[in-house]
Amino acid sequence: MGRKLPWHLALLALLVPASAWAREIVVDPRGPVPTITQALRLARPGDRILVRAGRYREPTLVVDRRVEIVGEGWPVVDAGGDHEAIRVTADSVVIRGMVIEDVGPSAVEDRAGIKLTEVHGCTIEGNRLRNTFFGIYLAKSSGCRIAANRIQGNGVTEALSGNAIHLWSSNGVTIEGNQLSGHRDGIYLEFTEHSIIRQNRSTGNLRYGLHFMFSNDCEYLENTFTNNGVGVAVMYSHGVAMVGNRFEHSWGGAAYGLLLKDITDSQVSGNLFGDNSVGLYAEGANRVIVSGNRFERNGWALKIMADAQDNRFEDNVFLGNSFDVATNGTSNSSRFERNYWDHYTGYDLDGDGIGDVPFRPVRLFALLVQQNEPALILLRSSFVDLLDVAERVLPVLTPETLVDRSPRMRPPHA
Amino acid sequence: MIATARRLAPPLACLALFLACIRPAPQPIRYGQDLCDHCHMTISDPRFAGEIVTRTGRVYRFDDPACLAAFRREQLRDTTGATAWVHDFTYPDRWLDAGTASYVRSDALHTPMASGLAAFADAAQADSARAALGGTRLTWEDVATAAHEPRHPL
Repeated sequence: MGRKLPWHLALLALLVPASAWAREIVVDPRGPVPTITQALRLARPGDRILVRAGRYREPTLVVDRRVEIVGEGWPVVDAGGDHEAIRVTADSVVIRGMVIEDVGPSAVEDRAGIKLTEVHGCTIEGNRLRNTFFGIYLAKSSGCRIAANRIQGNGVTEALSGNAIHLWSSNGVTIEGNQLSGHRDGIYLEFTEHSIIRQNRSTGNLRYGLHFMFSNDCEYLENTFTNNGVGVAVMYSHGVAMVGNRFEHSWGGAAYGLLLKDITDSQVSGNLFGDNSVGLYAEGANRVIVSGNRFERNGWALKIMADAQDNRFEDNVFLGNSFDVATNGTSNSSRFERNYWDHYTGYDLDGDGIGDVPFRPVRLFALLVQQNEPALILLRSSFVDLLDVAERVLPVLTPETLVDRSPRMRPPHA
Repeated sequence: MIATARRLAPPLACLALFLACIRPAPQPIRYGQDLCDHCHMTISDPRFAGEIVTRTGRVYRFDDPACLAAFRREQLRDTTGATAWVHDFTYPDRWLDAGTASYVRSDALHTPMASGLAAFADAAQADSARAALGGTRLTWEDVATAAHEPRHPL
């Protein structure tokens, strides 16, 4: 009896690998399994498909069971310009190290390099997508991780270009460390909630670096948005945290570092807005806290439309902007406190670091330009300077309440 | 004298007819640059874009039929002589008179403002699109009068 038990155990140990341990299926153009399609047909849930270097021209790869697909030596899935490359319909699928190329545009369907539909817990990591209409597309999915992918579109016209990462009706998604360029929007969220967008680099996209539509309670942190049509547009959403990002080099007639439209109860903190036509534009923005940001070398640091209510601008630094604040009306319900303004010329007799006279950041000239843009040609005129000084002493046309009563003498420590 | 008048009459009549027909025409949209005059989004998808041209020739541009309808209802001060135009979903380089176009609202149409609305040249084309996409067919009156809430899929 005492000897029988170990023998049974040994037999069990022999049986286990065949039934429960994951197998590895190797796809190699010169091997017994030459196509990914075939590997997917052979695979059982939990298997790993190792794809060796090569060029795979296959119909849309449908991943309908829980597998891990790993590329070795950057194998290329070539969609040939007319169909979707990979479609994932199973939970917990992992795709790593793959190159996906040439998913052509379509007027009727949102074709993507990798499309995930109604799945949970998938990981799409370290892939390279080139010239795909949409890059990575999630619909009605949750708990997925999209990380360290490089998605490069060749978008010339917006109409023929989709978004690099597109989330529709999804939640609990992490988008981290991706490089996104040449698409319509770098990252697009629609009806998406409780998701995190962190440390991505979104550059040279035609419309927006990042775009929120009806997407609540999300946060984006430490991302870089440069040379996009508009850096980031957050629209029709609430509870959005925007912290530690760089919004840079959005130049043009309607170019903004950050565009807020119908946004409530959100936070914009510790960001850098540099070299944009307009750093931050807010329309229909309510109860937004804008604190600890740096606005440097923008045409306009802030444009706040009169319908924006109860916003707070605190401890920000304004350096080298042509205009600090512009608005389109004479009413204002936003509060400005303890900001540093390089245009401030007041004094600090009591030495507490806070200027003794309030600062009015809206120049009369900014208001004139808002109403009549060609007037901008008078920017360097000394008559305009005279107007500005007169208006600051005795505000008549600029919003009387738009004033920082505690302007800093020196910028706070970065 | 009479002969000259007779000879000149047809071209003059044509000219008069031509002048009578001139009315505000839709202007091209610069995709990626022009902003929607209602929602402020950059217009990028011709399939859903639209315009209102006022009697005086002022042009308002929109990224979604719902924006056009909302702007016309809420913000357009003087509607007399103003014309509304929508792009044909099937042939997005064609303008349609918004008043005579047929519309489909479908969850399968991912429009910029999530209204799900697209315009078609006639009822037959709208019906064939509806057969493919699902949804309902609407007239301009339906589109113009209703508030178009975003079609939340959750």
